[in-house]
Amino acid sequence: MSSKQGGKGAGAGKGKKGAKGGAEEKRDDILQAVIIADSFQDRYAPFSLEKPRCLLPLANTPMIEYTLEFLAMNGVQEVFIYCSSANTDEVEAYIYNSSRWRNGSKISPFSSLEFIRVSDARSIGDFLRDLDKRALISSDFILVHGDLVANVSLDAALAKHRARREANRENCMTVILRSAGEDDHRTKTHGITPHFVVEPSTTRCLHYEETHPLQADHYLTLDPDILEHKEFEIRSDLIDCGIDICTPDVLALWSESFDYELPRKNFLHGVLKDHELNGKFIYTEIVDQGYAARASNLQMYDAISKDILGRWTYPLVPDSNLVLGNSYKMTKNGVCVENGVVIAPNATITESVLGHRSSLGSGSSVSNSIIGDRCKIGKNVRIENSYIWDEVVIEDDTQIYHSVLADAVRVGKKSIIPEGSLLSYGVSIAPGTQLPTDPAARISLKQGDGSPATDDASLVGENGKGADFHESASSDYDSDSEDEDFGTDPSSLQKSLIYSLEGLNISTSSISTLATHTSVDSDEVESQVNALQNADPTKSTTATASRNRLDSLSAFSAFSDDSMTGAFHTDAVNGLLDSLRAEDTDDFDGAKLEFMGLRLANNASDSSMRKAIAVSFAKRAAELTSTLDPAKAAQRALLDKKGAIKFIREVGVGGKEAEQAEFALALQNALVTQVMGKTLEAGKAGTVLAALLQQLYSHDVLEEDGILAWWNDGRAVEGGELMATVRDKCRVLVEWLENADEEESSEEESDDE
Amino acid sequence: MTTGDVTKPEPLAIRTAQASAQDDSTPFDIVQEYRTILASDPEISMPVAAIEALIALLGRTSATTAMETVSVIKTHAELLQQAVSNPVPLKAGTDLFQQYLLRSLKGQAAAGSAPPLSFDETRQHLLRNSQRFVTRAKAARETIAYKGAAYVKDGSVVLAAGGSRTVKTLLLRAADRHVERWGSPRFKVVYVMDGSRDSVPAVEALRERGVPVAEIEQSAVAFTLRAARVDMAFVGTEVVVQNGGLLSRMGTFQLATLCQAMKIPFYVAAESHKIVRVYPLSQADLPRCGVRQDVLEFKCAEQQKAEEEDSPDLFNRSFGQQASPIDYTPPEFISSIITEQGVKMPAAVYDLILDLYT
Amino acid sequence: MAPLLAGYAPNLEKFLKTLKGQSLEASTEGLIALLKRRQIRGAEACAFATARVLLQVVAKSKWTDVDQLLANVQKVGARLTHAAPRELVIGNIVRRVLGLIRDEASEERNADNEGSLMDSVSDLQTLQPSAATATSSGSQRPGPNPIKPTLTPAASFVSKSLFNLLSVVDPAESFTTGSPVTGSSTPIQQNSSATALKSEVIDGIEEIMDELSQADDQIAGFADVQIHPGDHILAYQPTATVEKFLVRAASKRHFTALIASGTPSPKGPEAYASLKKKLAAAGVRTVHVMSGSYAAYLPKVSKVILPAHAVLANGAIIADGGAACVARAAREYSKPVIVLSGVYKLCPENSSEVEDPIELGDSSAYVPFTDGPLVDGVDVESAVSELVPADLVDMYITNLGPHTRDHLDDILADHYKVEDIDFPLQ
Repeated sequence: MSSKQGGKGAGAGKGKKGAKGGAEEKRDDILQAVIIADSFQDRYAPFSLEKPRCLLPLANTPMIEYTLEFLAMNGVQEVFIYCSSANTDEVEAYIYNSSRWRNGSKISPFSSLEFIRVSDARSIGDFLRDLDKRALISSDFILVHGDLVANVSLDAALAKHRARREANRENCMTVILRSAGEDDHRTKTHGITPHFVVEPSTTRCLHYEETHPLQADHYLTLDPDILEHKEFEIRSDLIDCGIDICTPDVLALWSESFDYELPRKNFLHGVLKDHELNGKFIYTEIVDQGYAARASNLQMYDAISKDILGRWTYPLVPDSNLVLGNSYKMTKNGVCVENGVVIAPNATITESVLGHRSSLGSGSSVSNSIIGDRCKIGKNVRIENSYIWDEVVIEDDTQIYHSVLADAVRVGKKSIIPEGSLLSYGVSIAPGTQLPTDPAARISLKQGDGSPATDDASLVGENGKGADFHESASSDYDSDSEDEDFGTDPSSLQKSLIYSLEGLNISTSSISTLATHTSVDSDEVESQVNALQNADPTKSTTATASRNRLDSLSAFSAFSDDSMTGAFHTDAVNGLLDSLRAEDTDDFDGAKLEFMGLRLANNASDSSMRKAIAVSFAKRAAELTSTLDPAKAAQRALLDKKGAIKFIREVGVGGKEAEQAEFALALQNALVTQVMGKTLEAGKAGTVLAALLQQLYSHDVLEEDGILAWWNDGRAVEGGELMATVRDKCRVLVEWLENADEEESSEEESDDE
Repeated sequence: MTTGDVTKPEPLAIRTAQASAQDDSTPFDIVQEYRTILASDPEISMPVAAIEALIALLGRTSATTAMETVSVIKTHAELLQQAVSNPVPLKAGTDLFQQYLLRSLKGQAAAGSAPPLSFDETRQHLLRNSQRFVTRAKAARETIAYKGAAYVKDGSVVLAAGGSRTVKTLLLRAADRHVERWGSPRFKVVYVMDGSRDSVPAVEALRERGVPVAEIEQSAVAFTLRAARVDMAFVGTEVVVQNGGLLSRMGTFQLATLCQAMKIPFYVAAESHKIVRVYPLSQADLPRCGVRQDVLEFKCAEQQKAEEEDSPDLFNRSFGQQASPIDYTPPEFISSIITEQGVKMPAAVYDLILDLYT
Repeated sequence: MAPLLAGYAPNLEKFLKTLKGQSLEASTEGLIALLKRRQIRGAEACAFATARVLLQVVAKSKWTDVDQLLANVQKVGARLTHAAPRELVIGNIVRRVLGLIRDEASEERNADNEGSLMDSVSDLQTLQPSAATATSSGSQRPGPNPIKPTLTPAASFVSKSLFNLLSVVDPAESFTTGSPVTGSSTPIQQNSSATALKSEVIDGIEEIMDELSQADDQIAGFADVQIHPGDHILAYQPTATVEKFLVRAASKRHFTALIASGTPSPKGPEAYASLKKKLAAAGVRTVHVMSGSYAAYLPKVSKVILPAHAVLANGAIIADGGAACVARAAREYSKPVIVLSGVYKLCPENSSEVEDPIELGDSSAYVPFTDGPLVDGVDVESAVSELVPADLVDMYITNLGPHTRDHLDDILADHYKVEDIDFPLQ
């Protein structure tokens, strides 16, 4: 009879199962899952400075709880959590303290839960390559991110995946996607649209591409042989929740291409592109039941929070009390309250969540908001669409609209927090303060590089605490600020709570520090872009058009120190810089190899390589000027590592007059950006440039004609008088080049500059 | 209540002392006894007072044999009922008491109690614990309050009528629950002031607890039920009759009718000792149940004059404070009855009666 | 370790399989998680799972005397009820088991103190805390048990005693707080009796489980009495129970079944395919009535059948969202509304006591998540369950037979003990 009951149970339980599973019955193996608990992003800055993303509260529950619940819900047995050294401790501590998830805990739904820390990991790719080495994965496993919120049942997908894999070993991966309709949908990622080219009959994924509003055109470059398929759909209506069902081969694929960093933009795109090479097939499972989304940035955080309030994520809603010790109760008009909540009789509250022992003063109104534990909200306070974390104090007559207030924030009487404001941990707003609306404030006690910020009274009012938050200037300060999930600058679109394209020309979500520091208005930014587009000699066929445009874009932002720039460009520049900086070795071949690797992987155009190299050397030189005088700096930058010069000669310039001119121009641009980046003052920049050119000249990298060609090139002066000033510094050198012809005296020349 | 005060000897001592004191002197006046008990303790309800009176009698009577005692009790019980305008509540008490004695005679145990005691033991037990029965009666009230408080939900509007102490305590408990849960009472109360002396303190007590209370005239009930969007009505009662209906303060029937018309649950809070074996068939049937009240007096001018002559409040004087008129509420108007023995449908009352007389 | 049945996702079936191996705590938490995730839902499944876990409690938890056992059961029971506050059956099963234990225990005691009770008893002694008696008299046999009567099957839900006021013992103890005290904490010295009790209780629980599994068939047993030839039966979102009922009727009677589904379920008309097949096989015509439009059919309908998640003491039922609407419509056309429910779904709570019986479920039941503008634009409240007021229901058919509302009290009386009514303690 228990079997009979079982039948009922299955009926009563989640739908999907039933007939499927025929496949599973044969192999009685256990289901493994890998959680990527580190995003390597700073979309959540400034909050992510204090806490790893996966521990930030989403509807008063740390995100990772949702992820783990999802895995438990789907009967996962073994879980591996990957963290970078940056935040393993916190996450590990959190899990260890939760009697439910702790490894080996009696009541844990998992048979094992292991942490794997990779100290030197700089990208998700590093994790998976590491995982491949460890050979922990016996068969199919589920790959998810630490910020996943989902209630979909994977049984169907797993069964299909398994069937496919048994049919053909090359069917290595199934991507779970949630359809979200053609219309605008709050839970779709904004700024960057993923496009999946899918063969409907087989659900096979043929191509993956990302587009974003900042790119000049909205072309996808489709591999012509995709067109050979009888039918295919280009789906842009999908929510990519980052759930992948993988066979161990997937890890092998990661290992093969050491430069893959991101599961989608690099890996998926790459593997599909090189289908002929690797012969692997990737399939999609597009679900139209259940919920699945990644809180991959603040906008998604906002959307998912709303979905939770709207019970789209059911049963993952507060009043299910999935987290041990929670005891939320659903009360009238969509309000969930914990125990010990004190609500004044004449306070109104709708569609909201109130955490443990929070209090709401009389006359206050809260709507569509989530309020954490032990918050004190005064009288006549108005809170709308906001996310207020734990132990926040909000004094009387304050208004808060669509903002995020982290733990222990304090807002004084009669203050106004307008849409989009982000108040990080411990920030305190003095009474009667009105925060700026455009751009919305991002206030933190720390700066991007983790150093404490000096309180900015003009912003947070007298004896308030906190200052406007700036991204870290140094590109290598930690794993967060590089290896962007989406390599192009539109990721900046995802750094604000509210998605807006207007936001483009304002500082918080600016494209680059270029804009941040010299508040140039958009058309000036445009001019820059154009300048640079002209900068590369484009043999323009539609096929390559977008490619080049992207280059120009990335190149453009390449001149910023900003962390988010073209995948190839960032990686290349970082790679080179690292090897240039490296104290221990003075060998440059490794760097060179890696660079060529990258180049192939992204099939970067010559011009983009040229820029990358120019930028990295320019940067290096700029760095050195802090300690040395320009001439020395330039010399060190170029000559420290043996082979560097040769590298520049062959790869960087590798051509006659025209190319040389390009390179020189690239250097100039790079330095100018340094200047704008306030890492170098204009005067110096010029000198450095001069020194660099002079050095390159003396090592026969640039020839007289090349330099002169640059000198006379119109582009060297347009785009801001900075360019001109910098250029001027080289006048001496150029004049000298024009009339002098012997090299010996060159040293003195440069010295007495 | 703990078993601690169970064995407390004081009550026994005192009672017997009184008893022996006045034994042969003044003849025992049951009515007087009843009145004093009722007056001495504002919290005490009529049936319990009646029982107390009979216990006092039990202490005083010279009767030795069981049968004698029973008959003495019987006569006095009737005396007592004669003395008031509305004997039904007392009947509840006295019947209960007599049945209890009879039981012990028959030697059968009252359900829910220990093994049967001999008649003497019973007598002893009653005398010794008389004080305790009062406390029990009050405990029962607390239990009802505890059960009923669960009914009052967040944001609900409750209508309470009459000076019932049970309802009052019930609402106060509810307030406490809300304070525990929300930090403040999250419900409103509409109190129908029917001029009973207990309703005013009830309102004050509730307001003390921070419960918003609106006082309304009986004439405003229909209006209020709609205007205030009342979720449920609580009333106390003087007795619950055999069929699960009520005999209670005038106006209860009216209220019940309105509530049913407007589909508002109508809850009665009543201790189980208020259940009495009486079966009124209609309002007109009350006199048969021994209720003496002349609410309906059709007069013409000359009767009116005639009354002017001899003092108008003769009626009141004769019946003391028992004068407040009552009406009959048929069971079908009642959603359920909250007793200390659980929440019952009106239909379930009959079982209890049945048990009492078999 | 969970064996793979259909897919990986856990469900009742898998849960039951794991029970043997696991520690008590593990299985309890396991069930709690499943309940919270709604991977075990629906009265039948919940009731059965609860019974199984309580069985584990009796078998595995540490206890030397009845009170401890009761306490353990109550502790676990409370946790389960809190995990799924709206699955009222869980509470019922716990009460049933508690009552069971009390009965067995009292029988034990009676066995212990044969006759030894009556003779030497004076009320003075009776009024003493009996534990004291037990110790003072040093004898093995415990003192008289004050509220034994409430333990005997005879007196139960209604401890039929207006005499409580005057009775020798304190009735208050037994119910003012629904506390576990059996009045006398008679430690069962001899392990034998402990083990005996254990096995007794376990048998009892197994009986309960049998009852659960047979309920549907027994209910179906009354089908042909209720359904007459030529009837038009409107069944709202038929559950397994209703399905059996109709199919059984179909075997004997020739009628027309109208199957109404409230929510525009994604499955639509295919929803009850299996049922329709069975009925068609028996030559019964079925009509699928989509949400709302059943009012149009009501004039033809002769009876309306509702499945219940739970039946409350005052006769109100908790049923699928939309049921109240059907019931009301039926009332308008004065068509009888019949509720099918196993006795185990009958709760001692009153409709007003139940903390907010309406469960709000997945919004996508009414609005597709793919409809961005709607998702962002409207607040969807989809009631999974709702309260059907008592006055809209005409008859209740349990596995004991058909009942009227007034009869429910007695059924409750026979199944639950006064002491357990207030479980779980607020």
